[in-house]
Amino acid sequence: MWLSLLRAWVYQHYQGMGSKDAWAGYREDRDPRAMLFVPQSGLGTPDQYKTHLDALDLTSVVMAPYGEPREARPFERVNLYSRWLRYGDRMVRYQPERVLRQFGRVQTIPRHPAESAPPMINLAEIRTRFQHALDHALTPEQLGHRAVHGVEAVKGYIEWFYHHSHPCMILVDMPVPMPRPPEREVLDALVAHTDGEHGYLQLSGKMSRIRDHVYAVMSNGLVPRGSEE
Amino acid sequence: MTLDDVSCLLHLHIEGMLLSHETITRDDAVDWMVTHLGSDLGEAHVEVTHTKGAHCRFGYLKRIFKERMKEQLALETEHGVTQEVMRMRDQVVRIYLLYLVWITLFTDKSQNIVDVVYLRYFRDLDVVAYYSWGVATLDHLYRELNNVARWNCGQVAGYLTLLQV
Repeated sequence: MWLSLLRAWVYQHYQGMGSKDAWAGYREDRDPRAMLFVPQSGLGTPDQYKTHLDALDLTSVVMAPYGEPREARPFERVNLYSRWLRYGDRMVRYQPERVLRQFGRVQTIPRHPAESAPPMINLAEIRTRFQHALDHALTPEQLGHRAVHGVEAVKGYIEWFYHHSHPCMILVDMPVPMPRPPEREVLDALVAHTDGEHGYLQLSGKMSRIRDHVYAVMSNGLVPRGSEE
Repeated sequence: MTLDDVSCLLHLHIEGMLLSHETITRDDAVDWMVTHLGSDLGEAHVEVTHTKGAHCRFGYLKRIFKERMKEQLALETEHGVTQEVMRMRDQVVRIYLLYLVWITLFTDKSQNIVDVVYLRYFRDLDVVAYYSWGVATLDHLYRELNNVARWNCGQVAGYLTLLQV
């Protein structure tokens, strides 16, 4: 089941990842959403997945796919429980505040895990806490504002994401210090000199990347409202 | 992935009691099988010895499911619905539930052995629905993904293929 769950989750949140057909007998008010997807042959080799994932941008990610109103499965506040979860003799952190966009909210910079789910806790305590899950759910203040486009984040979130949360991830056009063999430098300089008059060709290539980047930055909410000019 | 995803994708319960078992010994497992599944003491011992832990095999569950089903039917036609028949029916339901959660919610790489520890949640059949099966499923997914992410995990290829199906 956990694999079906993972598969359904991928189909639901990422467009173009394999499932195109919907099962005709599906009824929203009755069936679990996972039944909607008819598994397809997928994208093929792992390399094709890699290419697809590298090219993925925010427009093909569905953050909050379940819509409103939800008759079959009304949203339960317990889903906003934010602390530790327990399964048998193991414990895991569950922190919805790190994925607020999946709840249709503007993503804010989450608290440090040690603060939102302090590590000093035992299994029995987790069990009692979850019985009073609503007392430990995110408050309306912590939830913040509703997202209009579904992908907004507060100012500084993207920087936080790359510096603190995912320091090993790099953007496609992020400058990465890469040692190059010295002879390449010389050859490049030579080519640049002879191609001097065709420089505008390279420039147009650069411009299109700048356009992509500006688009990504704007849709991330990095640019404060009203500063478009 | 959030609990909301689990709730919408699978319609599993989120609210409820967390699954809170600790590892059990082989003796406990034998004890539980005899008490809750109506297993024969000798057979239960064979299962834990064969699986080298507090486990039993799928095949064994299937077999005792059929046997118990027939037994209770025979008893019912003979004496009507007695206390004994009710007890046997409960056992049948427990065997089925144990089998069901193991092949759906908590599948793992072992393929054909079931952890008897989940019987704990089926001892009282009236409260089965009050456990948070959705949380358990999500936790299980987290754990399996953790295992997959290890560099020395030989099953990565297998999982990817399954993902592409």
